[in-house]
Amino acid sequence: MWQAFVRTLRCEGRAQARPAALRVLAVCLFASLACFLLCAQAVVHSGIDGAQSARLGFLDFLAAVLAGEGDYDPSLGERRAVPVGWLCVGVCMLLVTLPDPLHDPRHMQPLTMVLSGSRVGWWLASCAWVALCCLTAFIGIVAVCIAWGACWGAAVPSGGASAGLRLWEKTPELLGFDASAAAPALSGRGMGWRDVLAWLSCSWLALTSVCLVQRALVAMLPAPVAFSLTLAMLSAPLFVFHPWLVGSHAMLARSTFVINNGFSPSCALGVTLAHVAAAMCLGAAMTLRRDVVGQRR
Amino acid sequence: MVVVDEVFKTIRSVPVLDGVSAEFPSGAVSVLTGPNGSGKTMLLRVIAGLVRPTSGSVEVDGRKLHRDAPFPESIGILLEGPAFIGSLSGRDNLRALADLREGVSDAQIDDLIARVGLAGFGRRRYRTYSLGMRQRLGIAAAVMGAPSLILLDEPTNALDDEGVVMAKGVMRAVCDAGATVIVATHDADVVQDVADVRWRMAQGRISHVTGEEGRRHE
Repeated sequence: MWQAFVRTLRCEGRAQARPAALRVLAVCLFASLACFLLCAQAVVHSGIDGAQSARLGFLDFLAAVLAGEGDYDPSLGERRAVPVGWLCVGVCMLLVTLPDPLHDPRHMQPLTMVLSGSRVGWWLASCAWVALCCLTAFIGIVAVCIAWGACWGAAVPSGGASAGLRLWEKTPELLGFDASAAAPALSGRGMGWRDVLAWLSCSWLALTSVCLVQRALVAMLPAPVAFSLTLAMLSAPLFVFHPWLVGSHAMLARSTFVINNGFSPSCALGVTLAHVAAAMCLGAAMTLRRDVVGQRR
Repeated sequence: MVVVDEVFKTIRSVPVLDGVSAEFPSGAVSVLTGPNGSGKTMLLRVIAGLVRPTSGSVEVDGRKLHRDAPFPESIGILLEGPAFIGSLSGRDNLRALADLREGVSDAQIDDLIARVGLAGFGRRRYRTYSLGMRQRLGIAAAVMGAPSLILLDEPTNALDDEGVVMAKGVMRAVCDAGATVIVATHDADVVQDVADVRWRMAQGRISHVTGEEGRRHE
């Protein structure tokens, strides 16, 4: 089985590296656009309020892409700011891992599955490829944010791992989410590098788990249907504030670092790993018992 | 050697294979003929391990499928036409598939491409290939790495006369090397001169047409 896993992953890497790289580039472009919009908003805001200079830092650029939306309560009658940047990046991440001719029953799936010699090894390689693609895209997003921060002249906090990264006090307002002033990302304490790393890991895991659910659904349903269902799953937290909605954990605006009643990294880790396990088991069960009867393209 | 024993396959209450029993010897080209919908492709899928029979068993080189192994250990397939990645060249497609096999070198891939008549086209993107060229690449993928079992579904589709001769030559060569070759086709005339054993399928049932025939070149 492990031999099949390694072979299939190697085949996947050779066959899909180029198209996957292009899709990852698209994710990075969307992330860059979100950072640019934040800069533009910050400059405009500073122009209006001359006393307040735009002190954007690295965390602000990460928030521009990955903040998502805070807890929205329609009963308060506030204007809603849909997190378009976050949604675009999420959709792109789904699209990075959706087209996979090596696993498409109407494409190369019969050939690759038979040649791999193991259904389970083949499926695990598929999951590993999804995780690798998500990781690459996520590293791309973080690199883009760091590059924008460096270009903006964001200061690197001194003091090692405990050094605080903070959101500019106007960033939540510009990005349209509520933040509690007492939360670390906005308070004097800031988020330490370890906190940022923990949150980024959870965010990557959350997006990866959604992509894995999509891959499992593709084993049962046509790709457009699987994509639509997964997109609904990813965007469900925009309507309901609940820890079991895995998309929440890909939003900085819902983390305990930004709002007082937010989700902690341990909660995010538990929920996302549960989703990963469920998706992998479901996909493995489907792969094991399914007849591969393709159709002519 | 492939032994199919009393294989039934029912899909949504429709019997697709109805008690198929047959033996496909090593070192021979076995040709399955029959009209569209007679169950030829389904039988190939069952032998490949892609479809589990409702009942009955398939044994490949002494190993029972789904009991001893999920798929035949050494197999090459061309089922329902070739399907490759359009953005890659024909050569890169074969290189990617070679990662799933043991010990296929770049030189062997180049030789194979020349053997199926695609010399000079190996580095062109697959999406620019004509139907016949795609079929040639599909045949190349099926025989790459000299597998001991080769399943070809309608291998002469879209091939010109020269391509048909090439396909027959490739079948004969791998067969002479000891492989079990099973060819499914609706047009028996095209491959009759290369067939060593003939089976006919109709409505999910199989019948033996002739015994082992002398090879044409003999």
